[in-house]
Amino acid sequence: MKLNTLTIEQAHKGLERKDFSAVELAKSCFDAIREKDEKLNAFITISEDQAYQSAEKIDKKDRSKNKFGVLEGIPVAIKDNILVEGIKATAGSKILSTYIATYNATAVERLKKAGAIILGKTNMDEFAMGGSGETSHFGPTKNPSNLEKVPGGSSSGSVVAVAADETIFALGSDTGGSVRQPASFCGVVGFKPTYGRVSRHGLMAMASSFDQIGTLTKTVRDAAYVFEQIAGLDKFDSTTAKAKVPEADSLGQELKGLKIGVPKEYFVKGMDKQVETVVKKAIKNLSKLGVEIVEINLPMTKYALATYYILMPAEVSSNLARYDGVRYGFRAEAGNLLEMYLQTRRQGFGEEARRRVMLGTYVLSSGYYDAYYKKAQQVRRLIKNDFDKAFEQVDCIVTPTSPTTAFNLGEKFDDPLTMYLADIFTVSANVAGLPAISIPCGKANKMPVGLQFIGKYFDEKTLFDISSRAESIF
Amino acid sequence: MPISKEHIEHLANLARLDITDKEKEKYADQISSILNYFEQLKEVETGDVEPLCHVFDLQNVYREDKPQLVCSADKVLAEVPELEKRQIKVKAVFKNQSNL
Repeated sequence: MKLNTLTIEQAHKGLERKDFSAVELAKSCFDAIREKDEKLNAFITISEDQAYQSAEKIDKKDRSKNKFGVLEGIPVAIKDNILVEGIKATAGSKILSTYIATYNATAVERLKKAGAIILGKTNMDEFAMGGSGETSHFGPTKNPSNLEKVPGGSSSGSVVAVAADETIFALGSDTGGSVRQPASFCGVVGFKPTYGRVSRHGLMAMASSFDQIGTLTKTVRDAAYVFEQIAGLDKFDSTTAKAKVPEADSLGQELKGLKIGVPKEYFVKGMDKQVETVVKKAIKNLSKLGVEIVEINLPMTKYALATYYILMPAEVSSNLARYDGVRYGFRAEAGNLLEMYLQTRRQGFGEEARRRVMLGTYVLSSGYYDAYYKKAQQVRRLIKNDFDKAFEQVDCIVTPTSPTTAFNLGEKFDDPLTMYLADIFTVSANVAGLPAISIPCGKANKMPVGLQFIGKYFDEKTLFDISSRAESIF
Repeated sequence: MPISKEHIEHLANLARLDITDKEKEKYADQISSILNYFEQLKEVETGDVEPLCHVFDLQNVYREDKPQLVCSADKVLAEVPELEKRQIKVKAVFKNQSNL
């Protein structure tokens, strides 16, 4: 068996038994990258030397003294909007194409401490803005199941690196579905924790009240292992929560008596028929696990996408103001300061980034603030209330992750609104700040289909329990 | 609601984005259709619902105001496009700088 195809759990056992070394494991991933990545374009930067140095250290470590940690020697790929000290961090943008990160993101710091081996930085939609992986300055990433199709986005490279076994796991970021939607398109497990679980320190801000670092793995248990390491209070992010992080080893409890809600609003017209069939069959199969499936109502669902696409660009327009060519990144030559700002941002930002900055500026501008921004914030509360009410009845909610399977490269690129609709089933979890996970549940149109579970605040444990049992029956 | 080319120009200026005439038309069309999509929120009765800016009612988190080294100043300065004597250099803000 090729080492790069292993899960975290399998690789850990192999390393612990010394069946193979951390260097050999890393090498198998770099071999896969060399073999496949020219076509897939999942990586922007490869950090091979550093990776081998870290792997050698793990191999030489005296293991008699301490317990051999579950992530020790395990290769990971990091989305390029998450900082790894000393390595380029472009966020898929020309404006940061030369930027070298000056510190580690907290999540990266924790992974390093846990002994994970960083293989490199992955391709992504520019500043995490896109649902197809096509807005990157470094070219589109391709779907490993079919090179003519998009992998989804924005964590396109992280998802593809996992799906194509170029790494054992990866970190992504999820603002409106950027971990779950591509995971669904490529057939891997994509997990977004409760807002506030994982520190955003060192994650380039896109829409700060929605952003959350998530995981891309081959199994649910692997997601739980990574989550256990990266989650928790951080003094550098005042929105991080104190709540206890579930232990991955306690996973897999009996599900008898649990109630799973199916919101009827998630089965709407416009959904791909084949996807609908696969998802409905998967939901029906869940009853085999001893859970009770009940229909629930989330009447505000239809407003979630509009709410998200008002509030998110507003936060984007403010967060992207820092890229001005003064302190870091790309600077255009110009005669005076204003001209320098204009030229830097004209040449440095791609089209989607500019469109969202304009949209955000509009909804925040005088005369429109109440009609759009404030209104959307009010609806955001109603959406949250909807979920609060639903979770009085059920322990978990199940939905399709996306209304379609992966679409063709270029198909939606010039029609932003249609592209935004790809996020329709994932944004609600970000609007409400709830934890959610997408797991593969079958195929439609010869492409992977994802099933999404949405959990209660800080109850990732139940989410993992249910989805890990579910993945064993699909 | 249709948005005019002039309005797009104004927004671009506020956001410090320099856009071409062709882009102005394209953005006007695209942003109009996106704003049109937003119209559906008008159906929602929001009355005196408290706007939600953050999913949890977070309070300010304070720390001691104590200087500490979090990352190397040299590394940070190494990322600056133009430096002079460890100061960040930018172009003139005023036109007649030579007369000042």
